[in-house]
Amino acid sequence: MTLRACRAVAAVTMLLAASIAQARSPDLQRGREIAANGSAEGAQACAACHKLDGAGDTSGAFPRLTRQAGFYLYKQLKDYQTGLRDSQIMVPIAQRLSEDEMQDVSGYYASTSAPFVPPSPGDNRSIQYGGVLSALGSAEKNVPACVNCHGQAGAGIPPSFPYLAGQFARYTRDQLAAWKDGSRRNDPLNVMRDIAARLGSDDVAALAEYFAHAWPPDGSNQARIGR
Amino acid sequence: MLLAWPATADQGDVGRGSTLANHGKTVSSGPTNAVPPCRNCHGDRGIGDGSGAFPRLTGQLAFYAYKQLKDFAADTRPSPVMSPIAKALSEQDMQDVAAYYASLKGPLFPLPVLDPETVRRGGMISAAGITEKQVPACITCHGEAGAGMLPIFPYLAGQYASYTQYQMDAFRLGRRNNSPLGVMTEIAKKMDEDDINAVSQYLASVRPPCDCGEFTSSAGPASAYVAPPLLENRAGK
Repeated sequence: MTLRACRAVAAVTMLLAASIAQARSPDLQRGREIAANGSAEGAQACAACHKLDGAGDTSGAFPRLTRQAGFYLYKQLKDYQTGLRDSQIMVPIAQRLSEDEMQDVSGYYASTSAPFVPPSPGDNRSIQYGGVLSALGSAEKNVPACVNCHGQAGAGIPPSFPYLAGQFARYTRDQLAAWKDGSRRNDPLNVMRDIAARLGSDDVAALAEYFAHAWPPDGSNQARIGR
Repeated sequence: MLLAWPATADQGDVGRGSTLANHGKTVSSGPTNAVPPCRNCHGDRGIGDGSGAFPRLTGQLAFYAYKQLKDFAADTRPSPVMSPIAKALSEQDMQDVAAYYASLKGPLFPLPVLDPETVRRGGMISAAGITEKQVPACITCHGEAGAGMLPIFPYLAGQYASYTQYQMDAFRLGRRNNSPLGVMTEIAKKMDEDDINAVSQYLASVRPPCDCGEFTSSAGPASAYVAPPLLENRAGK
């Protein structure tokens, strides 16, 4: 079931992608300018919160964007723009970005290489439990393994599936909570909402803690992530 | 009994172990259940994924790794993850995969920022034990700076702190009970959480005496990156 759902999501996003994004290479220089200075229409500079290299800050209030799958970033902006994904901060920003600007800035952040600073030691029980849940899922709770769609150790499977490894625990926790209570609903085929609904708060905390400690894809670990 | 070294434990077939570790075992390749590739969790060359959820296996003593698989299979070290996997492995599989990981070298992930005082305290426990609690020094068995000691004592140096801590807790609370003569259970019971935390962080900080190298980030300037169309954009390209 799970791999099928995974492929279905991939197929749906690809269709969606084909309908909205032309085969155009993002202009990284322009993307960088938008990230640094904002857009002509008045979108704020991304760097103000996400930093110019996409590292975010240790508060975890803003997700790490560095090397995130470009299409995933673009789709999130698109969803903010159309109101499919809510955010008091991001919706007005996305509404002030043109189609090309969204592509450029997404491509830019997909190309950056912010260093990863491993978080200080966390709750080891959570990390162990989260790692197992991510790798195997839970038959008992009917939760598929995260790695089925998000790649080995949460390294992401571009273009559709974002990396989770190295993402701030707080952000991952908040997003899983948002999928669970329905306040985030821009997942193809309800996949994340279905999964999050079956996760308890301990599961969510453990997954968030585990992924925050797993090394994010940064271009030097091709062998590790098997691509 | 402690040294019940099976005649063939050091004769594992590294090539066969490599196939098993990296590709797993399908149902058709044997009478037992399928086995997922070890690398799915333990990472490339057994280095793990940086989180410590899965122990580093790179270069671990073959007999130790083999014995753990035996114990997982026999439920003397019960694990919801490893026990079913180990039960699907043949005696030969276990020897081969243990020999494979023992043969490897692989980089270590950089350390998080640790409290130096905690690391120092852990270092003292490792080197000298805790006299008033009758905790012996780790190095007595696990070798200088936790580098491991043939034939049975695993290396601890460079192992993930969160893994070591979790295992010490497992010994202490009786979830893991497979150390020869119960030695580790006895030691762990004399240690409190702070002791275990300190020694785990210290051991994670020691670099094993091998030319393993550090896991380095190849972070380069964004300008060196040629952007593909978003749909073909693959992380790390």
